Amino acid sequence: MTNNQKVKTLTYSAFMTAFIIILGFLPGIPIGFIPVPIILQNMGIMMAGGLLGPKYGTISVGAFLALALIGLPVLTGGNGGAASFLGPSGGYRIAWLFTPFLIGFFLKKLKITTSQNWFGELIIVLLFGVIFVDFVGAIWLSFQSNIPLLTSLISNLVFIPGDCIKAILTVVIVRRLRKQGGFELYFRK
Amino acid sequence: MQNMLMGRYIPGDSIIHRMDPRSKLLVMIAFVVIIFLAHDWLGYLLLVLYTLAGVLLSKISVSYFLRGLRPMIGLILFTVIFQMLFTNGQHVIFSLWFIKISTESLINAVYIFFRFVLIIFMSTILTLTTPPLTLADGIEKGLGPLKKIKVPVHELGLMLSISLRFIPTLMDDTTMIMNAQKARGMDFGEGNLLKKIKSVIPILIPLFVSSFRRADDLAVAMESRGYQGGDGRTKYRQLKWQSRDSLLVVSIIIMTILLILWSKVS
Amino acid sequence: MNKILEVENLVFKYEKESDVNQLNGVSFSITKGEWVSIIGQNGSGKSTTARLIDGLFEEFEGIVKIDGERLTAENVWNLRRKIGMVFQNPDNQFVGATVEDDVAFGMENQGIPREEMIKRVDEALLAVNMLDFKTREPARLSGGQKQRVAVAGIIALRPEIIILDESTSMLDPTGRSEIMRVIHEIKDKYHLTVLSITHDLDEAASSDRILVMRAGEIIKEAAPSELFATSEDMVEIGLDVPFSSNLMKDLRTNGFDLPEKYLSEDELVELLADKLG
Repeated sequence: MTNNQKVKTLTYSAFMTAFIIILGFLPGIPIGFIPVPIILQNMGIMMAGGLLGPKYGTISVGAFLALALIGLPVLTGGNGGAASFLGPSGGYRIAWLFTPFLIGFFLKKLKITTSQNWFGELIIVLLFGVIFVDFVGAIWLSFQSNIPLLTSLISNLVFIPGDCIKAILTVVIVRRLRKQGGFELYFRK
Repeated sequence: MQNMLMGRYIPGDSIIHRMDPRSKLLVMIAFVVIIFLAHDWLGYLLLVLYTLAGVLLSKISVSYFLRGLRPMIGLILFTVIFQMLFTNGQHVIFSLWFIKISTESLINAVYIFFRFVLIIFMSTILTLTTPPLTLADGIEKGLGPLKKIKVPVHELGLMLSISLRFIPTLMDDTTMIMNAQKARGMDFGEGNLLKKIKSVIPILIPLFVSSFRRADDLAVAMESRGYQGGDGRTKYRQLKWQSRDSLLVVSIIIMTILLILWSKVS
Repeated sequence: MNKILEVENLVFKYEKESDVNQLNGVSFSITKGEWVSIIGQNGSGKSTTARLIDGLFEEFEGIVKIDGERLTAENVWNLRRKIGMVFQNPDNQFVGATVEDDVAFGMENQGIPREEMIKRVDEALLAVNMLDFKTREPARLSGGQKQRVAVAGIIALRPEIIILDESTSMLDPTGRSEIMRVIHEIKDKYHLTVLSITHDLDEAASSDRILVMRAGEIIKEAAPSELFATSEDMVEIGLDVPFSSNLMKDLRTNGFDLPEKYLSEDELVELLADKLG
């Protein structure tokens, strides 16, 4: 990378971190059939890998998690601190660290960012941004709260519809942003 | 939101306020680890006393700490109740259908309650007495040794400070875009599900486009001001490790030793 | 005469494949201590020229000489030290999380020792009248105040040339006049050369010389009074003639005796007030 690209990468990663935090401040979308509104923060996690690739996507999400871990109120609802990593939702936080790497890695490997294959991208986002995260989240919940894994997995199904919607939104938004240019760099071999 | 850069910081002049963010961060992380060494009431008593000492020394009203607890109440109750219901014990004191509460599960729930409250209090001490920017400095300096294995520690520090600095700006952008779209007749949270969901797109795309343009401008401005990576750079902000910081670290080491010894004895 | 900046036959395009040149042979030079403005419509190549001079684009044809030395990929970091740039958007160039951090940013990049930085931060903030805001965050500053901080960040680096890349175009009139006053003050105090890219003709009018750009070329070079006196040309270039120039022309055709040089609105008001009594 040229110096110019390095500095740009630094500012892009910093802005990605800021985005994820902003998404946590936006009001959730209320949906009828599930009592919890759709929160938007994990969309930021799904976007990071799709925009900045595996390496810098991970760095920006890692920075976000670091700020949350030391106690800044950056998680949805003004949460933050080590307790939110050890609590029942700790598994999601840990899975989030790997999501941008997995999404970015496969998008790059399968050269999906440069193709018209938006369905392929959706599959990748669903696999690593939704199923992987909810699965790790469920395993953690089961350990943390002493509930059987199956019960925990089933209770996590409640998030699936909302998460699928967010995965679709993510793909729509990320693909449109990529068209604006500036992100090719992160998916080059 | 405008106060993101202040976080939860309460200005003050207590000994904890004046401590180096590195020692505070180190102790908070160590505390989260050693809390799992406590298995009985005496262990927890030690940890409670340690936390209380911190709260008192910070000279910040307890009400701020309780406020820090508020967003976490649901989470704590959830965990505590599940512990109570799903831990198997021999001395069953209450039983209804599949629910069995035993003395063991009750005690366990109390310990877990304390574990959460103490961890929250500890990280609240950190965020109440240290401004976020100083914390970011603390992370950067604390990770310093990783430079040897080529981790771009300096870049990470700069990145953290840039994202903290731009959160209020991006928040203003968001409000502006939402108002602009409202003025063009868009409703948020109205209409059927599909409409509600679609309403996110005309907010997020302009927000992202304008922000990445900001990021481009910022990169050019940084270059024009001579930024070429961390090598050969000096730092304006400096941290000062003092004897009180060493003392703080010693105190957590003593706590660790006491907890280990106690769990061996009992 | 001592030429601090020389530009010869600059040719530049944003994309290699493109057959449209953003710059099409731009040449000019600036003497030490001069204040030169570049005016022209959007897309005429003003900002591109400014960025090329600061070495912010890697590939271009032509020669840029700063203080007699030719700009190359090897010496760009050294030559850039002689130039301070203030950009258009006050927010997008504020790197530091507080005012003092931002002023220090450029010095940190140059590896200036901390004691020296502390001294220069105060001195630079004093020069732009922002010392009271030292520990403030950018979110609490107005656009004009942020631009003054940007200027402080530059004077702390002791450059020879200051380039204003439409630095006042996003400010309100108060912010605009504050910034211009500050630039005039520091120009004299630190013996700077100023190259100002601007849309604001009043601003350009106060410079020593104006270069007019159109479609990647410099089409005219003149002193402000000379340029604004011929308002037909201005319309042809696609720029608005300053209000005061128009008014003076109309007054002249109606038989008023007015000087043949450009006056700013304030100057004109004073002159008319004098004449009226």
